Amino acid sequence: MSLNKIRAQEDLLVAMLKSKNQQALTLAYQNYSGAIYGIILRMLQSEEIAQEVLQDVFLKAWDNIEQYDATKGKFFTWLSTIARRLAIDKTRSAEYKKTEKTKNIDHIVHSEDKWSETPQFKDTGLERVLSNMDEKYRTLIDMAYFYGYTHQEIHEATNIPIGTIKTRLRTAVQELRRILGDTEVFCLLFFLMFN
Amino acid sequence: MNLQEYILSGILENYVLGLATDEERQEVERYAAVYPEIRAELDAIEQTLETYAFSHAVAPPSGLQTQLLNKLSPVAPASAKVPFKWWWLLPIVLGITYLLVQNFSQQRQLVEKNTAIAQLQTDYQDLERNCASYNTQIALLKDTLTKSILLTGTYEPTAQVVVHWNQKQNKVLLGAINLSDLNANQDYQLWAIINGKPSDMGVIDITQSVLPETQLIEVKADFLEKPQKFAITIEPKGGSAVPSLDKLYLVGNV
Repeated sequence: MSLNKIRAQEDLLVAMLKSKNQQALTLAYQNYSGAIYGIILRMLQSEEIAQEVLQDVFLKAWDNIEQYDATKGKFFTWLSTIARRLAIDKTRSAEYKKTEKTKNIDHIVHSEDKWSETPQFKDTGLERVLSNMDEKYRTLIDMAYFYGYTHQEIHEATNIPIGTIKTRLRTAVQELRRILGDTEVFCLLFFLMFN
Repeated sequence: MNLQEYILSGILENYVLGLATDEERQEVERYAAVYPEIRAELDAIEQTLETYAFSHAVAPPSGLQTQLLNKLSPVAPASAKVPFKWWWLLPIVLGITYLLVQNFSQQRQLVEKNTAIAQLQTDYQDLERNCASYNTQIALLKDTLTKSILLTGTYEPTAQVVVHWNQKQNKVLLGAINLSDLNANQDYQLWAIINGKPSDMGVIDITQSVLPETQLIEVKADFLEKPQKFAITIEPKGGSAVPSLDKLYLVGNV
């Protein structure tokens, strides 16, 4: 199985979703729910709320699948953007503020431990690979990708000048790309694992 | 535009991470559609972050998938059972009811018509019988050998009977009968007086006669000689063998 084949399967999945095939949604859920749940669970820090948002993500994707344009990006990117947006909306909701009242967001933001927490991922091999990555880059990616931070929020959390954040993020992603190396192999690995 | 500079600026990473402004996003999409290098770079960044996300995947609780599918706006499956539309049966029920009512009414009409036909048949048979009787009577009356004898009352002057007697045919026809009703245990009896001796010709049933004013009586076989008189007496019910002459009611000479 090659990367092209996975892309082809992704295209087929999207086509099926667009034809409102419920089995396609089941497939999409089985493939992507783990990765999406990983993102929103980090953002929301509450399993209960994260599970609620996870369902909303897939329902929104199901309802708005017509708006997905494959020429503008991968399906997972689109799905993760929806997830990040819904999770951010949730953190601003009264319900979330009520349940998270006791937690100090600023404290979390500035906590040194938070960024080094071990991902809930079982593949120690991959974790070993990721641990080779410079911590400052990984933290930067996590803030933007897993926590949905804006440039301003990243600046507040890291004191990196806003003008530098953009290029620093490029470097971080390039570093991640280098570490992951043969993305095709990992892609295949994860596809098989979550399929 | 220097593509390499554009790529190195970090705008593509920021775009994929959702940190680009609306303006930047439109720009990236415009360039990606035109420059394959930018498209390829975006693909690589997306793939990297996707892999990274998968490496941090957390399995959601198993029941969540079912919950999610239950929340979907129901899309009617093709094999959905169409609920039975009972009102479709209404015309059939009405039709059957109409036929039953129609059938019942026709059956009743048939019975009525059959009864009427039976009545007509009976009436016809009566008429036919009467007609035969009349023909016989007319034939007797037209016969030149028939003699008509008027019997008049001995007690009641108004009482009368005409006896039409045909010796050849051995028949007697009573006509113009004007007799009083008798009580239940009495009968009128007709006699022929031959050489002074009464000969029984039977009781006269004036009530059961088809035409009360006439009655055809077959004369007994032994009635061969010419009678001199005909007489009617009042006798006990059923008649007597010998006439009660004290009750000689009507008499007439031949």
